[in-house]
Amino acid sequence: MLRDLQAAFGAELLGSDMRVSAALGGDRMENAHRFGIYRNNIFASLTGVLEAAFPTIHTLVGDENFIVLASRFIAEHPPQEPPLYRYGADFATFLEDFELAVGELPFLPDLARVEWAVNEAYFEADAESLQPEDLADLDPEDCGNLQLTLHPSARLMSSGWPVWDLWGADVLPNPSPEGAQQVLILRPDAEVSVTLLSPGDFIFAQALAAGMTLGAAATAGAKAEECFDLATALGGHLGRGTFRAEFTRTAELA
Amino acid sequence: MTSVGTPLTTEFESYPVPVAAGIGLRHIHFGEFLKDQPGVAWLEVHSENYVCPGGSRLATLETIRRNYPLSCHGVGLSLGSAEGLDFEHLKRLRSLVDRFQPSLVSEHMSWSTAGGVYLNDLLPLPYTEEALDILVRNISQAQEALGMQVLIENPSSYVTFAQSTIPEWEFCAETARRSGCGLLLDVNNVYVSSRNHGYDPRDFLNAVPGALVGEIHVAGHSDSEWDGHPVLIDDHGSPVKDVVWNLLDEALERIGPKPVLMEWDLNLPALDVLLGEAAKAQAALDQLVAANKMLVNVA
Repeated sequence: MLRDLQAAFGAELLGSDMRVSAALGGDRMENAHRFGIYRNNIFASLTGVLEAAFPTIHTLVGDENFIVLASRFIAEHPPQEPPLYRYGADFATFLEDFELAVGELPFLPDLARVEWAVNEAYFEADAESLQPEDLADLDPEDCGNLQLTLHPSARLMSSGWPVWDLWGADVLPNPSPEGAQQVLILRPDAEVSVTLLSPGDFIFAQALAAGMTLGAAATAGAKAEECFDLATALGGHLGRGTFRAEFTRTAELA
Repeated sequence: MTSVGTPLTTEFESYPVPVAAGIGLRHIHFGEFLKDQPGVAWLEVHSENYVCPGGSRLATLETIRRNYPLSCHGVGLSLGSAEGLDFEHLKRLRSLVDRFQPSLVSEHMSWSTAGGVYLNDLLPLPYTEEALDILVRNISQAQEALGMQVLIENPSSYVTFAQSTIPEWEFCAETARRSGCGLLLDVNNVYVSSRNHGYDPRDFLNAVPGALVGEIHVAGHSDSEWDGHPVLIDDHGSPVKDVVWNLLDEALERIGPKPVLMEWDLNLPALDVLLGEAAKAQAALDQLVAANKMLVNVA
């Protein structure tokens, strides 16, 4: 049956035994070599996909190590669908379990999460961003009741490692980097940006993303960071396009 | 910079793909296409590179599409899979077709998915009645879902199956006759497979129903050897070899002029190199037209 033949062929491409060889025509040894061409096509092309999605990790660990990581990942987590722009979502979790990598570079999984968020943001749906002038006509008293929605490309990430410093680095930091950082990944137009947020600003943005009003989110931000300033944080987000153009006032919801 | 967020309602001028030479559009050449509108008759993209929801890649293709006829060439539909089609993927392809309105849509006579795993290569089918039935059923479903005829490309291959009972060229022609699909004749693939499996490429060309061919591909391959036997690898990473240009001439002579596409995927060179290859394909078409005119005049 074709179904059985394809199952054996596929399993062999990702593994290394040669059960399918009996089904092939021609010389057995030569077939093993020729079958390897398919295996090489698959591993090389998918390694290329991962390199494009995780360029900083590729640079930091180097070509040879990246190929080792990618080959293991591809064999254990092969793609489940043809659009490969979505291939690599599990790479960060895979790295967590890969002792050899995280033993020496414990920040690697979180760095992979940032790179994956950048990749997601790049291909995410387009949307208009809220501009400062969109809020100009609002009664200042109403502002506290605003509910803002994050731009579809926006991703918030908090890490115990300095991921903002590490993202885009071209050499391994020495000594090993320390310190927590929070970042916002965003693509309001053509280019993806990664922005370092203060702890208060991060909690503020996270609260807005969770559906809290501007007033409640500002309170949460101030609780997280003594010097949190709403005007500065909001101005920054409006400037970079963190929110969708559409917004609501809680009064309108009632 | 291309602006993102254009509404999805653009109507392109119909711009059918002409009987002329085109090239594969690749991301590294986007800048030149946006800036200079290089002179090439039509463009082909890999469908799977444009099935994302948004971003600059789609916006750029939309801009370029305004100036060039377009063909969408899929590599992921896995028409030969015994487990049937991935209908989610078909929906993505339908959206792509609706958005960019390509006049040609093509796929491969191969498979890539088994047990829900997508193997990202064009894997060979055994040429049997069972595989033919499955392929024909899947193509019919795909054509229905896409609302148009699809061209199916003959693959290059490295292994054959002991259970195969039908010559590749008959399998290919029969697929088109039974499913109502068109054919994308890849003459480089014909050459690569003929050398890898020891048949005469002319056997293939002679069996292809010319009227069903809607497009021809040419590309580069690399030569290798195993234990004294040639093993040709279809890597699309170098200029088209003379033997393949010669085979293109023979194919055109036999089946008549068709749109010819020059493919290049690995180690992409400067755009000028691709345009130079396309000019050679155009010369082959022009030469055919000139020869036919002479025949008409003599008659």
